[in-house]
Amino acid sequence: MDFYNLSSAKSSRSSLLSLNKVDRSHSKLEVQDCTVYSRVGFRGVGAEAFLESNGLPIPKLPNQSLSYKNGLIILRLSKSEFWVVDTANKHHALIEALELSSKEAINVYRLYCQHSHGCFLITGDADLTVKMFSKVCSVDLSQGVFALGSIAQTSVARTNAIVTKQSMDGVVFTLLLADVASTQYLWEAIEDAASEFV
Amino acid sequence: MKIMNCPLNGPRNISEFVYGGEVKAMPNILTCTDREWADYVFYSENTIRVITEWWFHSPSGYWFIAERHTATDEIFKTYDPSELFNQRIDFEATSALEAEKPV
Repeated sequence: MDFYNLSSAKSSRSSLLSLNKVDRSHSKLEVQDCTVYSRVGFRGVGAEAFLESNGLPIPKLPNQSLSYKNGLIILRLSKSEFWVVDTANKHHALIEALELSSKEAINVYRLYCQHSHGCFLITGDADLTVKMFSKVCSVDLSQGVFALGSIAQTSVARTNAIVTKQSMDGVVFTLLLADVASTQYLWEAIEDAASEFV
Repeated sequence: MKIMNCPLNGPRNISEFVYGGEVKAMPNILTCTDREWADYVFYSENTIRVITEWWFHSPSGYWFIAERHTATDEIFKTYDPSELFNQRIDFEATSALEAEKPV
């Protein structure tokens, strides 16, 4: 194999973990573990042009995200850093193709967010989601301040995390990406914070 | 908790930031003496004044520059490093290896 593509390990990832790990038993908020779903990041002065040439829409400003199609979320984390995150487990082929074509692109550097970060998707009542996050995150995520498509790169339950609000099929959700080594802890922390809202 | 204004992310708790040392002009790695390189890497003036420093916002992996008074700890300004650095610096590995001569 000329080029080992990290996304090609998808089958190994999903064989180890349940793809449908959802916690909704103790709260009105539903937390879903999307860690094994595919995602990829790119950084560098050529990253924006590279993604555009692959037909992906790009958020205009840093710390903004947008929802492309069927749960594919594109995050702009800085002027020259982008993550493409599959929240529906339907876009593995596209993400794998992006990884492969980035190998030839100039001034585009792969980011290994597939393996560095865990990914949780939180759905439920918007006000309750805000209240739950206010227990674990110091950034104001209330609706008037943190609009759809905003990104906060901050601490959640003392773990470095990326938080963004997006929607799919009219359902608003919060996407939480954090250090993969802390996912079990963070899962329990979010579960605990959400358990208040029954 | 102290609040620092990150140029990329806005005001954040100081616990999200990591200090990265003074902003100093890098000596030429191929021609400088060991003393000059040690000065650059390890030593700082440690005086009471407003200094220009590297800071790192850990959750976003973002390096930026802050101007801070070393006695009052007041932060006057934070900005993107592109205001000072606009060129990538490449280190030539082969030349550096050649410079490593046995003592």
